[in-house]
Amino acid sequence: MLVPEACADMGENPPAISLTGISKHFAAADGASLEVLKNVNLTVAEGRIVALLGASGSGKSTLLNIISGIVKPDRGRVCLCGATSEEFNDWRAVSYMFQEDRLLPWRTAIRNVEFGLEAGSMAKIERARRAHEALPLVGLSGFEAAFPYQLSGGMRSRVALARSLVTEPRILLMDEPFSRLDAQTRALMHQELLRIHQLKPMTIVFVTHDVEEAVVLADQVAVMSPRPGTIREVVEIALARPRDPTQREVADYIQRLRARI
Amino acid sequence: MALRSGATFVGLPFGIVLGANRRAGEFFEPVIPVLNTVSSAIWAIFAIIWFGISNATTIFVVFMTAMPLIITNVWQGTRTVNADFIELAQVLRMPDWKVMTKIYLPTILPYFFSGARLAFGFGWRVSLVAETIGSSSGVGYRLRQAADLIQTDHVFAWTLTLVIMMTTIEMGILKPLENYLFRWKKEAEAQ
Repeated sequence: MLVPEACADMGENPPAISLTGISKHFAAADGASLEVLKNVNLTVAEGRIVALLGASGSGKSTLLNIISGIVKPDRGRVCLCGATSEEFNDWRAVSYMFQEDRLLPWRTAIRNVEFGLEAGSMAKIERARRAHEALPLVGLSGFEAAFPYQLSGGMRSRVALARSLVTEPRILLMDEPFSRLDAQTRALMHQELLRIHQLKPMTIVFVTHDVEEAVVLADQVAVMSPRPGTIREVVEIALARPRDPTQREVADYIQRLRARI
Repeated sequence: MALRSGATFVGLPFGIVLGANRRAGEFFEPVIPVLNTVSSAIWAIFAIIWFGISNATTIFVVFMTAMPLIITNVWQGTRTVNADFIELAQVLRMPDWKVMTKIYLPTILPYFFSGARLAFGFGWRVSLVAETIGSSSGVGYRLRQAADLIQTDHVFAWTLTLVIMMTTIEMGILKPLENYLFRWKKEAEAQ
């Protein structure tokens, strides 16, 4: 069967994410139609870290939701590793991390991590085994039995990260994941994310309005324009890591990007 | 106990359905307060007309008193379900029945518990009254017998028995169970 949006033509080494001609309208409260995204094209190679940078209302969260498959685009094609997002999701190869940690308060840390695996039919023992591997990965050994109210904001964020990683995704999508944390904890989480990315190379796309965060973390920054959202340009951050915002080169990038939002 | 669990088994799923299904909720919203305001004495009179002097009378009265309490509480509980958690489950491609058992149920449980406790308290008092007027057995019946024969010591003995029984259930079962089930809640004093 030929599906019009099928992604079979992506070739031998398909990119992790390929968006072609994505447009999206929402119905506004007064009945008018609101153009959120207009003809968005973006290609992300496997293993890269990409920031979607833009002011609020630039449709960057919507774009993330379209990549994850929660929102269907009006027009355009989404291909993930050479498959449609439905096919790709069947393998549970894409994870999503929210702005809030969204930990279930009645579950311990380890059981919250397990929650990431409970949609499928995996055996309980296997789920527990994987969850016990994921918590040390985010630096939370010894807190398995803690309830969310007993954890600090940074630790809760780590549990949420472990819950996203426990499925061993090939693509990790993050919607302003650390924006609720204080500056110090946020910087720490940035280091953690980069460390984990080196251990488990996956493609990461994250949404942010924080230029500094984008430059410190990303290989590429896609700058989005306000309504209707389009990708204005994609800037390569050709700097070695770790990057410190006080470094000259890093500060230069931050200034350049700030001018273009 | 059997009477109350009957009300529980009807009240819990009914409350969840009302909360999860907007149309059912809108339809039954005016009905519940009506059920809540009809006095147990009225149910008792109806029960005697319909069932005569029998156990069914007691069961019916307790059921009609306890069920609306549980439904109301569970229904309120479903309104507190966090939409963020539902979205999280959707992102994980979790099937609906798992969303029910893994998110709805744990959210509702504290509300259900307070409803069940209320129903339990009302239930045993109401059952006494129901037995007094519409039964040929049970504690209520014995109490009336003692009253008719002016055996005040018997009345005291039954009262004491009931108080001890209820306290034991409360302290020995309900309270520890609640402490265990809701240990994830931050205690207000601890802050």
